[in-house]
Amino acid sequence: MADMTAAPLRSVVPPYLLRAIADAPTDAFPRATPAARTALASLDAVKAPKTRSLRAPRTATAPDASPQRTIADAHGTTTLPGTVVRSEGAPDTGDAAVDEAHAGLGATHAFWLDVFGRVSIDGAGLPLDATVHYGQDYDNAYWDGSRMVFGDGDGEVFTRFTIALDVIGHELTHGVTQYTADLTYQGQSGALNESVSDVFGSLVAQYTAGQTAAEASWLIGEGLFTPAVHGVALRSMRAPGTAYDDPVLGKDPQPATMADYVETEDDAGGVHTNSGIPNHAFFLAATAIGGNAWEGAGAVWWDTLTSAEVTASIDFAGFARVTVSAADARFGSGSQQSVAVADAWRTVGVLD
Amino acid sequence: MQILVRRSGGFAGLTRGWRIDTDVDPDGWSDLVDAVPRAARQPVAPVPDDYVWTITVASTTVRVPGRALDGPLAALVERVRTEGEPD
Repeated sequence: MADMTAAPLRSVVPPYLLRAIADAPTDAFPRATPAARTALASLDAVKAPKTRSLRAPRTATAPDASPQRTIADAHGTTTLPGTVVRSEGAPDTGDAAVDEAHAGLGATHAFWLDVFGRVSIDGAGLPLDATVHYGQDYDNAYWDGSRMVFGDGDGEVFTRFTIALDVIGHELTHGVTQYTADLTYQGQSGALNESVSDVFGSLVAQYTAGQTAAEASWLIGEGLFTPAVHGVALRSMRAPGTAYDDPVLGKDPQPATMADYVETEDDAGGVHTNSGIPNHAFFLAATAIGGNAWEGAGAVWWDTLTSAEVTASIDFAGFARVTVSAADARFGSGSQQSVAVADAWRTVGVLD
Repeated sequence: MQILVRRSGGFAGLTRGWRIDTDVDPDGWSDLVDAVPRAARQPVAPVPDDYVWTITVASTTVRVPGRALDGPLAALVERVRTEGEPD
């Protein structure tokens, strides 16, 4: 049985005090703030992640807690990695895609470190690499197992994919999932994989903007569409199926509940479509709990993703049951949070 | 014969299709089709948010992740997208 409680206290300095120092303005405690962040990260590093062949070996020293970003330019080709154009610590280049990727990787790294004490994608300080200007009119971004790859869009339907922080957070979360639950990218486990990326991608954006669950838009990819498209975003966690309705693109196909689950051979069994169901469950739980989404439902989903009970081929119902157990463990059986999580899954038709 | 190209997946999860009837230029198309390797290559693992290309030539269908679409197959796909009709 996996330990789903918070990491046992191993620090002389209580975590709430470390966090206060870690969150101080950067010029207040120039040495103490990074030290506090490293200390917080080490509290979580001792909680053993699930054994996966891709997990970096444990070392005696604490992992490098800086983002270690390298941005490369593919110059419109599909050759990776491309030429390095900005390294960690280097100043803005004036190339919007390069600078947005740099900033977005940094914000995502900070989210995982500050909120969950996770040092980069693998929990062991994996350097963050991204390639921009990939392909021609490339309306996409993806995680290739070791780096992020961004297209510039075609300028008619899509703009550049670095423009939305939740997109960057979404892609890097695929890396986190790879190193934790490793949800198989097919069918329901694949839709969960997609949903986890939308969830934590949204949380990165909300955390960076300081938004509560009530204030957040719960839209994915706002700003990716050009003004020519009749749509507000690519997906909506608040109202799956309503993000766009365009004469050329068609209508947002996402279901909000199991009653409208889409059986298809496309898209590995509709992983980007059926993700609407667990997305909506997360939205319902987060808004019912209130406050900052990353502290309530986000913490429950994180405990779930790192639980040994979540196997690579788990389905919606199995994942949902683990979220309820995780909420019980973190907040107490019958807590407001547990009730909110269970109700959310019932509302979307995954649990009875 | 009919060639169908279908692109699904990608971050946006949009599905698009194109079709062409090669009878409009049988010789030109046969060169392109014949250049596509027949032997199954080493499978390339699909990665999250990559495109999925499903290509049907007459009665043969192959599914290829975007990362692995290159060479003669990519040239075939490009021509179908350029000259074919939306499906």
